[in-house]
Formats: sequence, C-alpha cells, structure tokens
Amino acid sequence: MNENEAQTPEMRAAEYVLGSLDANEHAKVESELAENSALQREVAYWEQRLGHLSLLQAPVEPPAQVWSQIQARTVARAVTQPQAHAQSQAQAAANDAPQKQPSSGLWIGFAVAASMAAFALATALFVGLQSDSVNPPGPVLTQTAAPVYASFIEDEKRNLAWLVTADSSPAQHLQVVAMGESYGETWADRSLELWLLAPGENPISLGLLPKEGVSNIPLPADVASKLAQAGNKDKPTKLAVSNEPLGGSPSGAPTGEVLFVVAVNQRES
Amino acid sequence: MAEPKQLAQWIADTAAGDQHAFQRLYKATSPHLYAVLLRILKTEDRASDALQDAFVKIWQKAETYAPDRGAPITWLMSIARYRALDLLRRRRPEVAFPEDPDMEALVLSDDNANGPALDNETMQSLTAIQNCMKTLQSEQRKSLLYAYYDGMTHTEISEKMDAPLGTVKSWVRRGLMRLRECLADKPA
Repeated sequence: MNENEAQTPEMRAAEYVLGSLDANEHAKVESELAENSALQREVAYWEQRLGHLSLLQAPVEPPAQVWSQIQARTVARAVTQPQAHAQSQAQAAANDAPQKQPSSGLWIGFAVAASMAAFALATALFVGLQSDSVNPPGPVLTQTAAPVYASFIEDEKRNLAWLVTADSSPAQHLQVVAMGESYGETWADRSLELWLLAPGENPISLGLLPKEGVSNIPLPADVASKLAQAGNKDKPTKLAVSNEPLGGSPSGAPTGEVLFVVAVNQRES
Repeated sequence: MAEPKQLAQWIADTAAGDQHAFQRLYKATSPHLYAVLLRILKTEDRASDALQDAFVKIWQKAETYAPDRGAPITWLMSIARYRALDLLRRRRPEVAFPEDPDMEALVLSDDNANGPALDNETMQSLTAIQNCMKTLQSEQRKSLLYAYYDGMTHTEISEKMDAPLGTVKSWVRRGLMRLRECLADKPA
C-alpha cells in the first residue's frame, strides 16, 4: 500500500469515523477538523454512511437512572456562572456525607446544600425557559422570577421528579413542574396528591401533582402564611405526597401511602 | 424508532431549550445509542456514563445539527460513538464478551432486530451500506466491522485477526475505498 494513499483526507476522515485510528492519530484529525472544511465534509459523509450500520444492533433499554442524571446535568449547566458555582458546591456537599464536612464552615450542611441545589435548578429552569423563543406545548410557566421557596421531589428509581416553587412571600401560588417521566406509567389509575404539612396541624391538600408539564396552585392567604413557616428551624412546614384514588383523596385527608415528605427550602435573604 | 423528520424536530426543539422534546428524543433513541456503547465499552457502568455524557453533549450542541448533512440518528450515533472511542482509548476493558453477536454474520444476513421499527428512508440507507459491505472481501469486511462495532485500532485488529499490521491497514483502506465506490450511486 502506498503511504500517500493512506494520507488522503478521504481516508483519514473515513478511518476517523470508523474508529480504527489510535489515540494520537484520532486526536490529530480531531484538532484539524475545526479549520479544515474539506475534512469536515468527508467526516460528515462517512458519519452518515457508516452511522446506519449501528441500526443492525438490537436496541438495549438503558438503566432508568441515566435519564435523571442527564436531566440534573443539563439543567445545572444552563445555570449562569454564580449559580453554577452554587450548584457545584451543592453537589460537592451532597456527595460528602454530612459528618465529613470540613470545619472551615464552607459547607453549612446537607439541608442547605439541597436547598441550594433546588434553587439552582429552579433558576436554571426559569432562566432557560424565559430565553426561549419557542415555548413548549401545554401550560406555560407563569413564574419567571427567582423563587423564594423551592422543593425538589424525586424518585430516582422510577425516574419521577417535580420542582415546586413559589416566587413571593407570602406566596400567591405554587408552581409545580414535572421533570421526570409521567407517573401514569407507574400508577395508571391513581393520582398523586400534594399536601402542606404545618406542624401540629392536619395535612392541607394543595392539589394533584401534574403527570407532565406545569401546574399552578393558587394559595389562600391562610395556607400561604403556613408556608412562610418553612424557615422555622424547630418546626418547619414541609410538603408531602400521597398516593390517592384518581382525582385525589375522597376524604380531604391522605388515604393512601405517603410517598414523599420533603423540606420547603426558603431562600436566604 | 421515530421517523427522521420527527427526530430532527425534537433536536430543533431541544436546541430551543425544550425539556420535553429532549426527553422524547432520549426515549426514542437512547436504546439504540446504548446498544452501541455497550458493545464498545463492555460494562453497563461505562456504557451508562458514556450515554449520559453523550446526551449532555447533544443538549449542548443541538443547535449545530444541520439536517442537510445527514440523518438525525447518524448525528446522534456519532456523538455517542466518539465519546465511547475516547473512553476506550484511555482504558480498554480487559474482558471480551463471548456473547457479543457476530456482526459479520448480521451484516451478511437479512435479519435485522430493528427492521420492522425503521421507516423506509432509514431502511434504504441501511440497506445501501449493508449491501456494499457484502461486496467486500471477507478480510476487508471483518477488519472494518471490528473497528466500527468494537472500536478496535489497526493494532488490535492485527492481533485479533493474527495478521501483520501493514496488511490490516491495507484491508481497512481498500475496504473503505471499495465502499465509497459502491455507495456512490446509492441513496445516503
């Protein structure tokens, strides 16, 4: 074989796409790609031609948690710089067991980390959607300001997730954004109901969690004032989710299994 | 799998920040990308990580997808494969998977696990490359398929096929040139 023949852009591009080049040669083609439009065309040609060969392989369903991890990473990356910093701090803190916190006071604790993560997520989501020229179909987010309250409800195993936020205090309404799969696949003929747990009181129904998209839940003034107790260190208000018959609890109190109890994180002013 | 037009629309919506479109794109295509990654990287953990990285990249680069440069599925596939090749070049798994299907047999046969799920346009492109693969000499075809499906370099193919490195390089290049000739008058 003539070595010059091997060096033609056509062949280098083809081998780059094929995968037969060693690490050095592969990196070399990659670095040239940015500026060499002939090479780009060749690579695109072979990607298109050879790419279809992958469809001879039988599909394999990836593990469910991959999607929630992708979601967490894509939302986190959309965050602007200072919030991205908060998010990475939150993640770093969340990765450390609370007892392993350095004494420098840099990490205040897991609850704060979780709260920062929820706020970073909320901010990312709202900033991301605000800058959209195209709105997704379905209900739209009415809330675009930075949230005052944020909770993240997540079931990693079933790939279910909701972000619950309110943008004022006292809050006029709660906004619930479904971020995972539709729970209709797990509980076809059930509804998941959201409750406010104020200390020493019966749970107050806030409505149903959306299967997908966004739902806005108006808050009466008395409920909003209870939500404002979220920051109370001793007796904080929390949110809970119960599994109910279709349409919600018939009795006004939770009747099915309580699936989640989460903290309501309040932004530090 | 969803039709190319639908996939292209989801990619465009993803570029605009639409999480739902991104999720639908993931649902429709991740089993295909994951199968490719699993074959190259051999373990579920590594393939899952690569799939994650690939979709994060797809989210970030969605606006660079140009429909006139290729089918959406081959664009997505390329992102996943380059990620896998990159990981592979850093650390190759020690174990071979004896249960990996023989891809040469699959290329030569007319059975395709995805067949019924593919639209005409995609099927046509697949048939074109598959038929051209069939026209190669067996050694050329084998070396191309080891590189493509298993991410093997020339050196690794030469060990696998017990052939001198120069000979393998020649098989690969002649095979690719022959493919190019054959594909010239076939729909992309």
